[in-house]
Amino acid sequence: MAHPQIAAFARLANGGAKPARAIAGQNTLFSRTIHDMAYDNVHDEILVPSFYAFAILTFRGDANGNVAPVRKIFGPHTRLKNPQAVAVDGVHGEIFVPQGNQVLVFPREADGDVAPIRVVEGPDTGLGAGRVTVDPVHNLLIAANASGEAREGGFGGDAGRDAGGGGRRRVAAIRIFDRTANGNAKPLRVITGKAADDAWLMTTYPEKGVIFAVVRPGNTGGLEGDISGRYALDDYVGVWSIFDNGDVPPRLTIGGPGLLLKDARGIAVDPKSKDVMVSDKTLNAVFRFHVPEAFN
Amino acid sequence: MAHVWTIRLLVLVALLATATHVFLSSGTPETKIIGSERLVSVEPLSETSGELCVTEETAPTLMAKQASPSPVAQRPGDAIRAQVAARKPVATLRDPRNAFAGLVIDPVRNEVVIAEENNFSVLVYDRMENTPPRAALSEPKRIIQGENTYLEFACGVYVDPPTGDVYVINNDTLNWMTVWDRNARGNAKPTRKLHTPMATFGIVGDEENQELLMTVQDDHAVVTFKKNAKDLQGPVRLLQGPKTRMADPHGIAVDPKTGLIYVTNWGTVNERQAGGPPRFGHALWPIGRNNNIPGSGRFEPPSITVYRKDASGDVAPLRVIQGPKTGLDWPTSIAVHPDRGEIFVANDTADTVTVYRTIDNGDVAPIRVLKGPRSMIKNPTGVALDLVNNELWVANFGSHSATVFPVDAAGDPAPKRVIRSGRPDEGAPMLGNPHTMAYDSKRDEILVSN
Repeated sequence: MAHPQIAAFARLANGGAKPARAIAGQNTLFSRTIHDMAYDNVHDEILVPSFYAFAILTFRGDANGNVAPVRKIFGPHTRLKNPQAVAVDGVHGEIFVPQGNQVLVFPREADGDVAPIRVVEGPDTGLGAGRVTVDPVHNLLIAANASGEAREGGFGGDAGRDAGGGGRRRVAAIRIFDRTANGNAKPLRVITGKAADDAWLMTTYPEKGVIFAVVRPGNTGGLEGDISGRYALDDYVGVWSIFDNGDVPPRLTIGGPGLLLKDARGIAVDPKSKDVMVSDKTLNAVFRFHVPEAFN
Repeated sequence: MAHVWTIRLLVLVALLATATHVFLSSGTPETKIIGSERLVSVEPLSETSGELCVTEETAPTLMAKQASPSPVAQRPGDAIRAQVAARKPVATLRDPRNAFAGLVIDPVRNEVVIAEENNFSVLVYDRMENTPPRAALSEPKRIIQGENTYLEFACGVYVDPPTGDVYVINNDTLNWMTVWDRNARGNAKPTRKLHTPMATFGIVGDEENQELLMTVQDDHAVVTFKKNAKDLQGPVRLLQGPKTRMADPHGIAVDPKTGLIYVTNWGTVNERQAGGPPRFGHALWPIGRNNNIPGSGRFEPPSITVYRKDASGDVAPLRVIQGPKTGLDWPTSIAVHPDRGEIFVANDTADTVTVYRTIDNGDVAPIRVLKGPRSMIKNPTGVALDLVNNELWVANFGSHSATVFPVDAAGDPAPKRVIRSGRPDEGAPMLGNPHTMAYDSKRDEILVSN
């Protein structure tokens, strides 16, 4: 992918619309594909993990162009290693970084070479953590490790087949922890089942205790070169409650399965307009669905 | 200040109500017991607008709701579930045009071959194609595209001079180099394909040794394969390690006269330890990300590093072009003109092509810079030289175009020719591998990352 960026589009944009602004360039310290970001609407900031420099970059919410981050967490004390995901809790002022079998927690205002204030890790956690999100109202940390990423230290594609590239396999699930969980904490609840196994990026609607997760079943391409089914329309957004526990299918599915999503990745929601936005990597597109039922 | 005390009062009320609720309830699957840490975490919140998340305005309301946790909502019925699952989007953000990422010139057959990322294709145009100003776009002579092609985010392309075979690497999502007969078109299976490391970006052929050299972003490395390698065959050489000073390498070029290779680096890097079993069974496969040392990441300035083309292991570059005078800004692609002794670099976010001497070293200014609105250079991610016709080609990811200049062009010249895949005034959203999203409630904007 030739050009990493964070582009901001008007919510109602459609078709080949140009972004209202875009963050890109040498000063941004971006490297390759940005696998996750978080918007802190309390402090109006955008957080981005740097996969190669092992950093968490924070930008002003109105950042535009080739601008430098206002803060960056990086250095040997951080324990950051190939961070590809991040979540922020603007209410309680904390940053959550999942990486394999642990979740690192930093103060929101941390800058430079700082150690995490908490680390969720240990056999009772059940992590693999590929992606996390936070519900600051119900005080929850929610972690997903889709089956493609459910290997310690590795993610997706070849990682699961690479003899030098991964550890033992974890059980994929959506795990719900207390927000302040620390150390070898057990999850409060674990959502399992076929859909939860393939859950990927997530977001929440805290006011109603709703979890939205991109679900990506099927073939993601393998070493042997078998790509049959890779472009099947089997992805969708799954909707769960934060109170769900055990083998629970999603309460709603959005955008499929069998509708149009081939390789769904990003997820965002606007409860005010009751819209759910989903990006699809294979289609190079962003879809906006109007789903009042998901916000009731 | 009074507002802060109001918040604190509401939180105290919430806490008391929660404690009462917990005392009266018995094990129903509801919100966890709230501890005293809730008080510690409360702080004055900055002013924001929007309703969807927790802001200064909504925080008291939301925290109050903790006293009566969200009830477990009823599961929707099957009819509603089916209706929602089949509901089509109300809007689709997508660029229908082709986005040119990388290119190579085939002067033998008078063609330009373009790696295209937006629609997962390889496009072949006549070298002399020139989109008329009033035309919407130029149609390519041939297109390779479809689900059989193994093409996704193709950004690097090479043409074999004797045969015209086309070699393409995917930067992301599919770790395969694909090879086609030059006449391939449509949804064709590649003639052969080769398993490559994750995140290859640049590719160049060394015809003297019948080898292909590729940069690997993920591993800060250059791997070399035999040109006829296929399937799961491994590399014959690996250049990787801290002494190389490679940092997120992108473009690569070979100078056949001097036997040197030039690599452009964006600058982010980390350190890793050797060890573990050979990856994919190959001793010369790059040391992978799982050997990375936590906390070892660094930000370096962008650079051009120079090595002998047969360099292997962890060796220092012969020269490094790096520093504020260089004008490097996401140096994404590079080409060498052996006879002129010049290297050409596409700088994505500077909207420039900068030219240096092949013998340059250190913090040197470019000897020429192409930039400006007449040049139409916009987010250049590919640069190539036609050594037969002495032309410089630029792939402009940000303007649906490839532009052609005399090799000695400087300043803000109008291109000799332009191949467009869209109208000049359309602009380009540059969506490529849209991976993650967020909703900016303050500005009512959707944030999308590539």
